[in-house]
Amino acid sequence: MHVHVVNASNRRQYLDEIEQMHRHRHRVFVGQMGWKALDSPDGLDIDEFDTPNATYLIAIDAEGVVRGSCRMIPSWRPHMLRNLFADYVAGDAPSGPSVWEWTRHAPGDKAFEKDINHQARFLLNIAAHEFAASRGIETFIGIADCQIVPRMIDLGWKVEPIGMPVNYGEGVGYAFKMNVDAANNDKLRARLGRTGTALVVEMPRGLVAEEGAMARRTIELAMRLPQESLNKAEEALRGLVRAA
Amino acid sequence: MNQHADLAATAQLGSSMVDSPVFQFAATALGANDMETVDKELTLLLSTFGVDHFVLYQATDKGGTPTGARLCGKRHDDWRKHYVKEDMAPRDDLMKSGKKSLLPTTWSQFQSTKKVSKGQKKIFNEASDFGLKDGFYLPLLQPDGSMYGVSMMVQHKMDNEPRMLSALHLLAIYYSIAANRLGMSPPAPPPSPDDAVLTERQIECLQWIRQGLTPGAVGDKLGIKEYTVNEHLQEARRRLRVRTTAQAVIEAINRKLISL
Repeated sequence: MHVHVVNASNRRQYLDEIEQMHRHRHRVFVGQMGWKALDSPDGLDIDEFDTPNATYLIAIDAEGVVRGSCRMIPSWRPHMLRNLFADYVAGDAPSGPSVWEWTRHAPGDKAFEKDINHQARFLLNIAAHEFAASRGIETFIGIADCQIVPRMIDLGWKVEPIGMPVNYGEGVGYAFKMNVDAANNDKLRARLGRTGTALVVEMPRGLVAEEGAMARRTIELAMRLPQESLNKAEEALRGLVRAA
Repeated sequence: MNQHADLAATAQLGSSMVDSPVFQFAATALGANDMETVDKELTLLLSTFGVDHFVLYQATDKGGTPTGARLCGKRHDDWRKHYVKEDMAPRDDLMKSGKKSLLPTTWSQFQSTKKVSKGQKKIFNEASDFGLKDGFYLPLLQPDGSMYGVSMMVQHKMDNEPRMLSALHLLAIYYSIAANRLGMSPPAPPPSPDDAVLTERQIECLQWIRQGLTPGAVGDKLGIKEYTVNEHLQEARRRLRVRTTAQAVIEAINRKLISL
């Protein structure tokens, strides 16, 4: 299982997985957590923040099945905490180039095997750290259900409240911020028993969409190479992209 | 200004006056190196809300059996002794309420919205005799299926002001997070039923039953209600793994818990 970074620049190469993700989110949030407000007759969870501004981290297994996902939105773009739930925050929510909102976190599924859920849960959190490093993100913000917070703490996040608990219609939660700590990622890797940095596959920008599927497959194969070879392959690929 | 007025005034001071210290406590809970520091800060903060006592305890074990085993906190010693002596945990429905809802509640809310058992009413009444008139309770589901609870007790009726309850909610969450971080765990579980040691009250009840008294007469002897005697006998049967009270008496004699 790998976590793929999917955004406006590469979404055409992930059309099937994006639909799977929205279906998976509906299954988790509506079917399993009972969030009636998100119910949709088409079985897809899509809201007004699923726009080109959003970047998704999607855990996809070797068979192409989506096992979990989360949504990241830069704080300088419209996001839930600013546009929908501003009154959940005491004062102003943190914002700026190093602050992104983390929402729609859906690791695993009750229908999946326990081990798959365990992997999806850890990989998404590890990927979030890697994604943060690649984008210069220092702080994530969002709204967490009170029941979920202890699990976030267990994963090493120092979840600091920036608002009081409120009934958001599907439960009680509160606005939070949490700083990214690279050292925590090492602990998560150790707990999962994974090494190396090849957990996040991100399509280089500029690849031709029509060739995307082949390019993606090439990268996935490359990810299986030893780290040294991978670095060389990645360098060569970036050279090709620059040349194109 | 009495404590109740203190509390009401605090709630009316506006969000920043309430929020900032609560957020500060969360930071302490996430960073403190020892529970003493956390307890000290929470004691100080809760006093502004008129809360004198708070406890984190295991409400039910992973099998759903109420234990009431304390992990940490600033308890009311006399009430705690009484609670343990009277073996109140098995009939404390508030502790079992987490099975149905993980939302926080207060004693007064619990009594006004639920059909409260006689046993539970008795607990609230006796707590009141110890000066504890109301309380805040937050159930916390643990990964192993057991349930913890944070209980905060006050010497007056709470006015259920939403901002204050939200603050207590957040404080309770971060108190339990600190306890978990710093390795607080419930005391070892009680011995298995094979080695069960009955409470003093259960032994007294069985001893009088052995001498031929009815539960009502035992109640008169001990100055407690017949209902309470039956609760003690029921728990004694459970601990001794027998079906009837007669079997419990025989089993207690065999284990030399009561005399012939």
